[in-house]
Amino acid sequence: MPELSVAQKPTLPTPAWGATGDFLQINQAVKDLNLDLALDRLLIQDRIYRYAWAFDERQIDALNNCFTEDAVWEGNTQGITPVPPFKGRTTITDWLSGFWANQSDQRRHVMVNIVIDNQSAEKADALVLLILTASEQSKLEIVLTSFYKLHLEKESGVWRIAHLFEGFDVDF
Amino acid sequence: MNEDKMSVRPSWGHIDQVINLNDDQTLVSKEMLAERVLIAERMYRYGWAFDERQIDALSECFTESATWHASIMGTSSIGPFNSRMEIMNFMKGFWPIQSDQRRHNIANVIVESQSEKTVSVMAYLVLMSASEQGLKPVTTGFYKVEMIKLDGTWKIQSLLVGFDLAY
Repeated sequence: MPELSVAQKPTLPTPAWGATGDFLQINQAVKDLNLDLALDRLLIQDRIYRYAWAFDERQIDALNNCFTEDAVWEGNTQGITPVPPFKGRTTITDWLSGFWANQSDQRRHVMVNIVIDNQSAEKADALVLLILTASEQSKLEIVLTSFYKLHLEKESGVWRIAHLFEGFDVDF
Repeated sequence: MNEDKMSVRPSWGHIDQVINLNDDQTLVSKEMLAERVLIAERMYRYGWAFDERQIDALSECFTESATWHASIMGTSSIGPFNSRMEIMNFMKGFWPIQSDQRRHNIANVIVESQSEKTVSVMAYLVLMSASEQGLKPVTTGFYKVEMIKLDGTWKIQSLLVGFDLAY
């Protein structure tokens, strides 16, 4: 096969790779949200933020409590490279906390643009954008952007992540 | 021991016990949950007021006896400033010497404990700077804030900002 010239080579990521690759879907905004569901959205957001706080402050108990016991964590980089599914709360947090020994910088997972779909009293889906920063010595850099597609479930009044998909815009 | 490695302390807030997250979400009444909209907004208004240099709006964020102090990765401190007036004098002192447009992006606001009139809040900061030289991230960090409700309005009683970088 002839090699592509630089100009011919597709650049990654392909813009909108999440939607075009069927990794996410933007649904229509909900109409007439009732008060209980609106209040639940605050707790759903709280769970998403707590996931960031717990990872960045390296608090394993708080991180564990972000997930249901049978949760699944998986991802994909630029629609090309899958990150294998990790199944079960302990497997997920063992994998996540395994990064801590190798990351000498202060990470901040900044969660923005949260939208919630398919919400009921006990279940919800959420889309989230991430800006991941790292501070070290006198340098602050943006490590990556990505999106999360989450499925959350309410257990005894507390929202937990049952399925997490992270779509990385850059290799990590 | 490598001196550089000593100065880098990921999760320094937790290591120093400045940050100690609740293990889980706390359940509160619907009324208290709804208050969180205004509690988060107070944090955002603090960011807006500083960046747009509106001293009245900034002053309104704090109680009269509020305290403000900063920690830079737990290794050095700024403040404390012990009253609304001291805080305002300190903050507005930056404006004549900062020629760039600062944006305090406040994110990941969570409530750690809450009663009808008091609340403990934490949030992330991503501080950006725009100038002729371009746009650059200045620092990241966290806020740990105690608020009280006075005449129906949430105000900051104490604010600790933890910076991840000296700047």
